[in-house]
Amino acid sequence: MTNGYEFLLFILAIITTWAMYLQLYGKPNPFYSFAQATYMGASFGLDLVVTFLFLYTSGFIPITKGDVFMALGFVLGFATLLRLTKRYAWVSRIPLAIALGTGLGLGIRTQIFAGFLSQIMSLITPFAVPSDAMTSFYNISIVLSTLFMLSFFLYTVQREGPIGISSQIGEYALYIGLGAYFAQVFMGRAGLLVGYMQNITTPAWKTPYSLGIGVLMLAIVIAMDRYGILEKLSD
Amino acid sequence: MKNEGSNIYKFLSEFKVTYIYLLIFILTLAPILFPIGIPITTTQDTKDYYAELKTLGPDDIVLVSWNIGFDALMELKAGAYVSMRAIIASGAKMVHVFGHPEGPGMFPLIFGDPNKGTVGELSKTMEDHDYTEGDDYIVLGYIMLNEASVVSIARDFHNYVIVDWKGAPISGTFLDEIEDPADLAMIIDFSAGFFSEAIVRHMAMDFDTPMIISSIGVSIAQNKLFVDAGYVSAILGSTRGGAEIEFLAGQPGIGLQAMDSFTIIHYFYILVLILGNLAYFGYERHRDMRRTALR
Repeated sequence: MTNGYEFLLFILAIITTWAMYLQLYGKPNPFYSFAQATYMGASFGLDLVVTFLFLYTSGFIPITKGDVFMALGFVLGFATLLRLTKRYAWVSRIPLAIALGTGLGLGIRTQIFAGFLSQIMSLITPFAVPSDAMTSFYNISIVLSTLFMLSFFLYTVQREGPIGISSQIGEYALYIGLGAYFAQVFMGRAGLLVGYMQNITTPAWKTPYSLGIGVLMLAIVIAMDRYGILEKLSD
Repeated sequence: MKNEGSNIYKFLSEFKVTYIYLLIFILTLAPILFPIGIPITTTQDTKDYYAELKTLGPDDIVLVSWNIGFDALMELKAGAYVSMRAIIASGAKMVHVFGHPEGPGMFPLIFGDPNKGTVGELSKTMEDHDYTEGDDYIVLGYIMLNEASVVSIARDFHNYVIVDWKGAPISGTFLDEIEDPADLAMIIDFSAGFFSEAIVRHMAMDFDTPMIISSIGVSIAQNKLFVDAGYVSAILGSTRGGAEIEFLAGQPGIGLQAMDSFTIIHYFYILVLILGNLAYFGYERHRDMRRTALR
């Protein structure tokens, strides 16, 4: 088992979990409204504390150790807040411009290789791999699918003749790709659900509380719906 | 007979989606409470991932980036536990960084916190191998806020990071051996998307550091591109990957347990997909056509 404080936390977690899932009931309900507001408040508070700690450890402490350059970051950060004033709002554009320029510079330098050149290079593979028919098939299908799909995105020519056929095949390849992507998304979401269900039923002593609270909350929502007070009490 | 057939389609078409959600919950929970043990196979991706982990030794330092919050941990925890156990058993040292504000709250669930008496999933493994914070692993905390901070870690590590997440100086620790990512034996990224790509580009690509990714299902396609490009050695995909690596490592746990629910939900989804299409072609489509004719 566990101590009283942890048990209380567990019960609170279970209530908010089921409250969130009760959105699936299909109508607004007070449990969901409560859980939503709690989540928003808690995540904002967490963000605030964690970001403040980051500023302290990565900004303030280096300054106290003599890295005065770090103070520039605080000055720029403060300048961003000047957006709230009418008179000095223009100053806030300076840190924004620096952040934008830095981000762009850092991103473009590496994106050219990782997102473009290397991706093209990865397509340059041998079509026929001796004694490995599957790899040969994969290599050929990847290269052909890429070419067909690229022809689907040609907007400056009429899709007729060979280009038309190629773009049509490209369109089907795109649908197959979207199907695979959708399946991966479904797998991921199912993984989240299964993982959380394991969390609320492991160790075994949690199971009766988890299921009991879930059934009770669902029953309350159904009863409230029956008596017409469900939506009145919701946000 | 025709009317009876159309009634079935109508029933399917008007079946309340709430009941489908309820069925999903029941089908998820039932195999967790009463495991079946449906067999699974292991993919080459997982074998590659595990083989990379097995290359680590006691002299190595590994950067572990947690680009996930509590939600994605639910999906990746099976793979995370096995990966961390493999590193602890190898004797390699770890440096942990977070790319999500929930990282500092999530980490003690895995590693525990001896100072606060918190027991984590890996506390026993660490105890068995005498693996301690400070000597064997260091937590730098939530320091990956954006791409610029990833670059700062890569290019200006000792000026950017002076203390760990508890405020203890990192000088005098094993991190003195790290100047840039080239000094790392490996980067392991638990990825829900956030700054994984920045780590690939600014660390694995720029410094040729071996990197493996444990990815949530939604990001597998995106991360797979980096495997094809040669920047990432292997990917462990979602809960399924977690189950496979548990099988490979001979550590059956929550990943393999989840596969029963996983498989059943997938079959259920295929069934719903077929029935939904039958309902559409047998009832909804005709109803729309009748409406159009009336207009």
